[in-house]
Amino acid sequence: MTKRIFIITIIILSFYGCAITASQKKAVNQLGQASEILGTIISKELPILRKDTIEMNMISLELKGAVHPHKLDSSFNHKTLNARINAANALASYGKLLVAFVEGDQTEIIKKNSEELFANISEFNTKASTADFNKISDKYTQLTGKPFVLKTFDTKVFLSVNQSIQGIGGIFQKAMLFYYHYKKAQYLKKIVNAYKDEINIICYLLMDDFSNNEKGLIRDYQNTMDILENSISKIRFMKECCQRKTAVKGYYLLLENKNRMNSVSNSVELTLKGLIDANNTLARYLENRKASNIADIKYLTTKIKDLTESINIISK
Amino acid sequence: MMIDQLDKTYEQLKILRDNANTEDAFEKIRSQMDKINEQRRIIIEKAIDGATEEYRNATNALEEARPMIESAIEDLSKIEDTIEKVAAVISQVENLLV
Repeated sequence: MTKRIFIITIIILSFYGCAITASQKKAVNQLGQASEILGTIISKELPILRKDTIEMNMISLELKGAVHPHKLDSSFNHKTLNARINAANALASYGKLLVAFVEGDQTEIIKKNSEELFANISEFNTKASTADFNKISDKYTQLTGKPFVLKTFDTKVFLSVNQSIQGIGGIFQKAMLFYYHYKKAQYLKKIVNAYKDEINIICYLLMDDFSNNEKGLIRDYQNTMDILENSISKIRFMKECCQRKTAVKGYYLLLENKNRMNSVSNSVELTLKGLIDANNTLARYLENRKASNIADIKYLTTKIKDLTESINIISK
Repeated sequence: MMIDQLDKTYEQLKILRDNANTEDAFEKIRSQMDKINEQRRIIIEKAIDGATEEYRNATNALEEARPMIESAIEDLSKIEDTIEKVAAVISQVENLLV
């Protein structure tokens, strides 16, 4: 009898050993929150940038600027934008999922966010264009110095992860709480490992989009502002009152959008970089926790602290 | 890279445009800036092979035109020659992007 109790105790303790510690929970929670907030900000920001682009182009058109009337949204077309919104939503679902894993009993939220993450990642991979993947490849090489090898998105792998997550919180797991926590830790590791590369791919594309020096959406937005600026510069020689009024309206719109673009682009780009670093560190850490030392968790905490600060700046 | 050269040329032309003392010169420069804008957009949207001789020549031509624009900003009597030079460079880039 004593021997049996001893064995059961050992099993329970070993399960507990595999569960997540308080400091790890804190790190995962903060990384999750950062990812969720960033994803939400980006998905809200993109339609605003599109609206600005159309407004600026309409004024340029009124002033006979170099704008194609059938392409007022420029690169912010529905196809491009939808792929980005799926990407940003995937970041937000990933964040919510991480948070749900380390907070109390969030079984239903875990299942819901796992479904959402799977749906958004799958949609993103369907909607992203070849040009998008070329941009991802360029950004990856630029940041890591290594060539980017694009793996075909295998729906089955992610579907299987999602299906296994849907099995979390069964009666047995709920009755044996220690086993439930053990399973959550296992699932967390599975999620982070399965989605790490996909989350990074999304971050590379969005970094390119929000960088002033690349070929993404912000660069296109800058071009639209230049066209507007060039159109309103004619005010010097404008004689019609109506045209002068439009030019003045364009001038104020330009000032407003310039400030907006500068404040959003750099901070989002830097924050995405921070998210990649923190996510990679977390994946490494979860992959080999026994071999990890205190320096790993310290590094992760620092990365997440930087990330949280960047998020606070963007959220203002 | 060509896009960097186009950006620099564009910024210089903006100064020259604002300094232009006749409507005709002003309009010509404005139109050249629109063309450069279009070229920048094409470069952003398409994958242009940066390893060709034509690409290198057009990039160099853009770089070489800049001191002339700089000089016209200082001395507006050179504006017409500069406009002609820039027009030639823009055509060279245009041929590459077609």
